[in-house]
Amino acid sequence: MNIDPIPPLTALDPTTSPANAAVPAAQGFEAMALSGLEKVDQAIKTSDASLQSYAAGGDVPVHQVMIDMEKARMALQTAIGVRDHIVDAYQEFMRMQL
Amino acid sequence: MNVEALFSINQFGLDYERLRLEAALSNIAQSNAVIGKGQTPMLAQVTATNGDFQALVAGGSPGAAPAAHLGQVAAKSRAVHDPANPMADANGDVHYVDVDMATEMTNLMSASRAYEANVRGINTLQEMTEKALQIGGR
Repeated sequence: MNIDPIPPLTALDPTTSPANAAVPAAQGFEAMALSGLEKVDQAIKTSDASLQSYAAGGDVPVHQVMIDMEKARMALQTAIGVRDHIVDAYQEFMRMQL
Repeated sequence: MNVEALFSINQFGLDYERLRLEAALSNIAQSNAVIGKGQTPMLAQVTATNGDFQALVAGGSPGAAPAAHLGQVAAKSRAVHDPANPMADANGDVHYVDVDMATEMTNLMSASRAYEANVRGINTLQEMTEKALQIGGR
């Protein structure tokens, strides 16, 4: 009768910490806010351009104008939502009793 | 899949249905126009899409968005005997593009309904995003 030997334990892989690997260089809050605002500004500019082109009789379908405006609106609302949360957090800190 | 990709998919749907409407309109418009001598009867049709729509749906980059475009396909012609018409050929026949009105009307209806469905989709996407922005709000 043949009994399989117990296989030896294999060494564990060295732990790869995804948390350490994926985090980009810390960027300041100011730079983050600025790049977010630039994205919002870009979306508004795009919607403005397509609206102007449509108004001038360009070959732009109506739905594209609406989608561009909707994108701009959503970007702006997201920015406002983020702003509200940050201001809330800031006021929370200001009220903190030390 | 990010919101940009969802918008791209939606925009492709809207573009496509608009082109189907254009094709049906141009076919209906030419249904009673005489074909000149030496011209071949052509029907408008949304022919092909560039790019890989499946890859886009599977979450590909919005940059690879496909584009539908309007093309022409050869069609049959119908002959009407009308010797008095100056466009008549040697047999006294006048040729028209054989447009099937029932098919074109069906295309119109289905394009219009599909366009509505796409608009409903984008409105739902926007409503959901707005709801998500209310998370944690006071």
